[in-house]
Amino acid sequence: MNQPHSVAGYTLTLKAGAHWSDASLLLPEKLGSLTPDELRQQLGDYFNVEGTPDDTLTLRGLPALDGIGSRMTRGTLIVHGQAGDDLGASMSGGVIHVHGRAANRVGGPASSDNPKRQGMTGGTIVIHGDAGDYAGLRMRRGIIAITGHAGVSPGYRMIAGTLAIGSGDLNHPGLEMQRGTIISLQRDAKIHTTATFASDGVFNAPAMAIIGLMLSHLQKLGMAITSEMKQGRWRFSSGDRLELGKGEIWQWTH
Amino acid sequence: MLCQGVHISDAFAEAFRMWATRLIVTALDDHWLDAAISESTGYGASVIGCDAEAGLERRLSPAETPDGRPGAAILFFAFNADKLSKAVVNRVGQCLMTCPTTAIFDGLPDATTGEDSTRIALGEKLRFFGDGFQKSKVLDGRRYWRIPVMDGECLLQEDVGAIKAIGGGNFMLCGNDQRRTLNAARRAVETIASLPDVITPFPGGVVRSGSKVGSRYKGMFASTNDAFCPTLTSRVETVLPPEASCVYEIVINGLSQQAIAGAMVQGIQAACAQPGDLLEISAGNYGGKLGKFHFKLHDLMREATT
Repeated sequence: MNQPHSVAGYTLTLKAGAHWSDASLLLPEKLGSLTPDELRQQLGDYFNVEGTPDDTLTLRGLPALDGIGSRMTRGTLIVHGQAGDDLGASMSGGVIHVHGRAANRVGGPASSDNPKRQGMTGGTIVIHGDAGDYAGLRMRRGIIAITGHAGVSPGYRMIAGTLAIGSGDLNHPGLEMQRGTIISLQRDAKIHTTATFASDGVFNAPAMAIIGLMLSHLQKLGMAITSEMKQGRWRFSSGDRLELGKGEIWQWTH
Repeated sequence: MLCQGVHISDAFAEAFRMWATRLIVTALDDHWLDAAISESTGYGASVIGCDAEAGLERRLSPAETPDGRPGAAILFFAFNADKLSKAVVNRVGQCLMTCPTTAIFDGLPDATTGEDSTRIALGEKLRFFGDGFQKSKVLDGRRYWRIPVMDGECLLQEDVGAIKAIGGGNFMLCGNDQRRTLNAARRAVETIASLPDVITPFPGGVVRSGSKVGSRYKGMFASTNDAFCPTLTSRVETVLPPEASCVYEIVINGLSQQAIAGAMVQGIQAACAQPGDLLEISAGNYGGKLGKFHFKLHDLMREATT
């Protein structure tokens, strides 16, 4: 898989035998402006610290912590390894790359201090691997790109934004979604939707500029986009009609 | 001064402050791209009578466009940002949104709101054609509007950049044979067409009805440039060499002084490339009193050779 991000900034590698459970501190906006000495003073007991100040932070060797990138506002966070639940919860900006699996509720709402239960409101999450259930839960803006499979109900109660899924069938995507776009990049994947979604037809990609624009953007993020996708046919469905009905599912088809 | 045997007059081109925007237009194929280019740049020769001056800057390969389709960079110029905004919104709404398969993107993404640049609301205004069915998508911090139309969607960027630019760079080709003078003009226009940041907005890039400011008639802001008209040499203070029988003007609008200066030099060199086609190259000005940008032919050609 391509890794389009740079490797500038700090890299924190969990030391052998060390235990770390608090993801909230591990944000580029909190650590990126510290000097190497300041960073080692704060975290040196737990992490090997390499690199120089920058708005990019790379994490290695961590267990699948919950809440990585939660409430992130800017910068780039790169995770080598697995992420737990609530990756990028309520984030509003910046980019997160996870080179590994992410668990449930990617880009969903932060569990505390969030009376509106609002999911991510901006930024980009790229999972170079699979994701768990309810990816994009209540997301309002931003992009989630999953190169692998997604669990059940991706885009559940999605308000807007974009959720792209690289492979596998989709199990009830977009339930109760209002607006936003869910994209299935596996050709003719089975999409199990409810009757509250309806097909709007099949369109040739070159005839719909938004498809080419979106695929180019996903390619830049590291998704495997082929020329067959860019020249292919796409089924558009809209829903959920129990809500606004302005959401949509794009499916690469034959 | 001579350029490949052609006399270069000690004249200067007088150019004006304008505002410009660059649209990136894409379409399904070259046929519909041609239709979009010709329609959107039509009636765009001079702001004396048109809402904007417009022209194709260059073609773009699918690899160069945001949506991976064939595209074109089109430049539009107007006297100020407000007039430019009105012209561009009207032209996109009437000439590009109506054209099958097109999408319209910002060609000056670095232009921000300030003294020398601004943003023109495009999709932000035209989205209402969607009558509530329009959708937007934000990618890389830029909003795009998807307006449902009868062949699918018209995709429009929410706003496009506009910057201070220059209109009215020019040079005059004086000859004694219309066909040969036109050949020289075409060589100049073809050369300038390959350069970035400039357009030649007149028909085929060439003007035959060059104008001077004012008229003996009330209400006329511009009238024929009699000093360059070969049929009037015995009646007015002509600037033409005695043997001249036709003059063609190449007008160049550009995003910067450097772009216009470079285009003038390369255009003049191309025009002079065929011995015997031209008698002289001159330039149009208004005594230096109206336009703040003066392109002196001798200086330009001297700098080009050094």
